[in-house]
Amino acid sequence: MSDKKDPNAKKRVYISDDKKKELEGFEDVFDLIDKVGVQVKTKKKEVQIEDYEIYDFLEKEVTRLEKLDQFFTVQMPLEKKYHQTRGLIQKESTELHLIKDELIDKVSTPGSRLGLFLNDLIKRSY
Amino acid sequence: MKVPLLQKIDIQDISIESIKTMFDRNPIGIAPVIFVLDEAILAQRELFAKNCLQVFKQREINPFFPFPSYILCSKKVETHGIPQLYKIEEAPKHFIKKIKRVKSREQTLLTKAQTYQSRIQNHSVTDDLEYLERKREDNRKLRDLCYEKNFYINLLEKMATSGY
Repeated sequence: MSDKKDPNAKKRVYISDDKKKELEGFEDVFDLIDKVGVQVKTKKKEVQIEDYEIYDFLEKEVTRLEKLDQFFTVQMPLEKKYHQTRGLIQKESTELHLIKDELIDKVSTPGSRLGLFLNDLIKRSY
Repeated sequence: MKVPLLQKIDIQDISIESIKTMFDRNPIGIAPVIFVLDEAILAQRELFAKNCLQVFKQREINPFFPFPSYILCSKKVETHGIPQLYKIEEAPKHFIKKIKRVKSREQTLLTKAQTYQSRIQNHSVTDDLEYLERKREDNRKLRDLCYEKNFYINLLEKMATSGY
């Protein structure tokens, strides 16, 4: 096999869509016209997107890791230092206990509606 | 440093020693990985998950952060602590990209990402996650108490308006 290149072989030219528009009308000057038509091959958009795929991924990754780092270094220590849930549970439990006491006081007084209703129910049943 | 893209690791042996060797040879904790269980060891998936968790603890690597390590298995793994995928399609698309040589502009970002990753690994992530789990339970308890209190307050108000 010979390593010599075919002198008549066309060199592949990759140009973007914008450049292609700029070259309109000058194809013959740049020897881009073949019998079949214009030989100019545009770089595929997929390849262009792929060029930035890793860059975009790394940018998103840096943002993600930065947010995670912020969460573990700033928010978590603050949350641990000034936690409120246990205190709120204590407060709510006390209030709930008082409300239940009030409710029991109301329904357990002699002559209360609940007492009368239960009395009536028992009388009807037996 | 390589770009942290999702990598598959085929698992054929579930012994602690082979899992340790697998951890030495693969970028577990510094890149997202999927442990693909061989059909022959599907029945021993629970033992694999337990052994794997043990090695994760020994090496102080968290299976969730900064990069997830998944177990790919069609049957449910009861052992909690390692995220599971039932199908490969469930893997996060974010980590699936074509591997390419890193250019200089990307190298800068990669170095930055590596710094953050090391910082996250220096935190006691597992302790923090356990704390959050306890806090979640407390928050649920608080929610239930609030609902109950609200119910009794409404009841008392209704009794008051009906002249009880």
